[in-house]
Amino acid sequence: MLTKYSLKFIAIFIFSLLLGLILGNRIIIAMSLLPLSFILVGIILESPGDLLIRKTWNSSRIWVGDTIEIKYEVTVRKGLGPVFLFQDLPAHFALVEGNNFQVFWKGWHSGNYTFAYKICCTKRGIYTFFPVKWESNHVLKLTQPHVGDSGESVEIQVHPKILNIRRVKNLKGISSVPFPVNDIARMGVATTDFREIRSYVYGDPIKNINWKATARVSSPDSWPLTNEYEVEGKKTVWLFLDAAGELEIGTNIQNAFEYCIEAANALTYYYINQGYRVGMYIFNGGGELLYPDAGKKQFLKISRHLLGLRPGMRNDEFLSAIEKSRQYILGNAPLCVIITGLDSKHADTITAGVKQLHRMLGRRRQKLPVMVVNVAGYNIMPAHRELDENARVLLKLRTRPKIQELRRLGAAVLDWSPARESFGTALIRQMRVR
Amino acid sequence: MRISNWVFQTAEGAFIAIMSLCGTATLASSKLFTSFQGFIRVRVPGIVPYTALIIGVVLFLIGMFLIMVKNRGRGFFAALVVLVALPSILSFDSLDLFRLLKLDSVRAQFTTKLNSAEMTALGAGIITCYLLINFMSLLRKSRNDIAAQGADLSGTDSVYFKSHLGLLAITAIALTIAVLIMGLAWGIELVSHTAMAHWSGSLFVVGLGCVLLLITYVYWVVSRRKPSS
Repeated sequence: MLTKYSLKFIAIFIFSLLLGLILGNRIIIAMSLLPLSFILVGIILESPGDLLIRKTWNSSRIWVGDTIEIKYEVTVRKGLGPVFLFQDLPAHFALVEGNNFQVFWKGWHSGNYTFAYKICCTKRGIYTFFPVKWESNHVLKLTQPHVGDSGESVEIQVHPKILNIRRVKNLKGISSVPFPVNDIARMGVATTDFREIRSYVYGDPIKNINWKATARVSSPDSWPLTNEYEVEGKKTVWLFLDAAGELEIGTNIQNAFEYCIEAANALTYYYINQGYRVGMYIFNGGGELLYPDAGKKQFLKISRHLLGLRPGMRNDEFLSAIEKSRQYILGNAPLCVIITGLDSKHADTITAGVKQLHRMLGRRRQKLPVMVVNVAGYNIMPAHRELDENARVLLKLRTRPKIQELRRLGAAVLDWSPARESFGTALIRQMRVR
Repeated sequence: MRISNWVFQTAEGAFIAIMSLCGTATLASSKLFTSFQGFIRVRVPGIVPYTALIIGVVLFLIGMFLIMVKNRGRGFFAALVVLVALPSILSFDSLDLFRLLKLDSVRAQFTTKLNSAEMTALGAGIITCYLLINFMSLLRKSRNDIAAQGADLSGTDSVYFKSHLGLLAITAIALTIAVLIMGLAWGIELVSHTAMAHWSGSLFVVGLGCVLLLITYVYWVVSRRKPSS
């Protein structure tokens, strides 16, 4: 189809030709020939077409903060003129180098072009890259442009940052967290490693009764004694992740909620690598339970779940979360890690929850196997005014008594300020030498 | 390749100047202009030698203001130049409209010192410059739109430069074709002069037939195109 520019010159030609014919003026007729020949020569030239766009970039595992190169090979076989290429960027991707809107000149011969740019992934999630859109124009816009898209949609997963495990693993000393690396699980498949002799309880296998030891006990009505063996595997770590919407302090990309997810992912990675079984309960977001398990498969399962996690509107689910996880807590006596922000006005539910955990676990050990990771939201955004700075201080002061109360209950509190240090550094600080 | 914007703007200014020059030269050759000079001589005799220059400069300034400053009014400027050239152009009319309207005194003013070839060259110059100015402006607007959308500037400038080369090539070919057609028409006229002298019908019918043929050709060229997928 012709454009308005072509039609304008055709109209000029027709008008001047008719005028020239009516007046019998050969000068006007000669002048009218120019727009006509211009349009005729112009429209003989076709706008570029027959495009082939081939993806040449790798869309495998990507982490938050990674820079990836998006690259396509473009072949244009027909026509002459400019070719525009454009690709929509999903939200939370920042352009680092190049441009996602580029223009090329297609010459007389078939041309090969590279459409490439670099982007940085700023937030975890599952994103879709739609096909590259193209538009080819006539060299002088005498005909309508051709538009289309080419290729297939590509889905990529951007995973939260993981912990530099070597830094934490090689740390010599005694952890203040009540969970040494070689701690053994209470339940599981028994090994041949002897642990202790104890009184028989219903359900113990008969083969485990230590007859000699029982015979040594002179009383006839004494209860048989059984050998107890170490069970296979290590202990369970139970993560409670707070998904309350009010944790979204900061920007869309950098906020306390995102840092909570980063901490959860890092802890999962760390404990899974140590051979622990890791389970998770996500509260304040409707309540989601991920059964404890060990191995990389479990890490991938949790990590994938965290990718699509959206904050919820509730803020009182922690107590019910403990109730729903009761059987796992009582059965495995896990290290409970609560990842939350204590600077919210609903932090009292966390204290109440820790008290409940204390009732469940506290009697059995001297130190409560509970760690609270407090993601400090007041430092995430830079202060622009004096009032902002004051607000930070007030929030920090408001959080302090809550932290002290939790520590009095026997819980370890990891106070993490994401703006100042990485989670790995905070964890090392927590595992300091006593 | 990157060429500074001022090069293209200077070229655009040059085409405006050529259009003004063609229009003024055509006007200056007409009888009407001589009469106008006589009218001026009575009132301001000092500026008579510079009348053509003044008209040319005024035309040029109008063109520069409309096209370069306001970025519009290209059609208006072209129409103004053609209007200025009209007294000479109308002197080549076969149909003596003024005599039919009994305006013989006016008819006397619409004569020129230019011959047919000179007049055709000046007319072609006006139209060619108009085409160039029109499409240069379109390409500039297109470039600014692309740059505003955030495209890479080196790619945009390369496309801008090559589009201008395309414009020059198309204009040159179009001009050549127009000259060839005029030459062919002149040849046909010579050959068919005797035959046409005995033609009883109107020349208008012949012309209209030619127009219809050309429209059919344009339709055929456009309709055979298939949209790319």
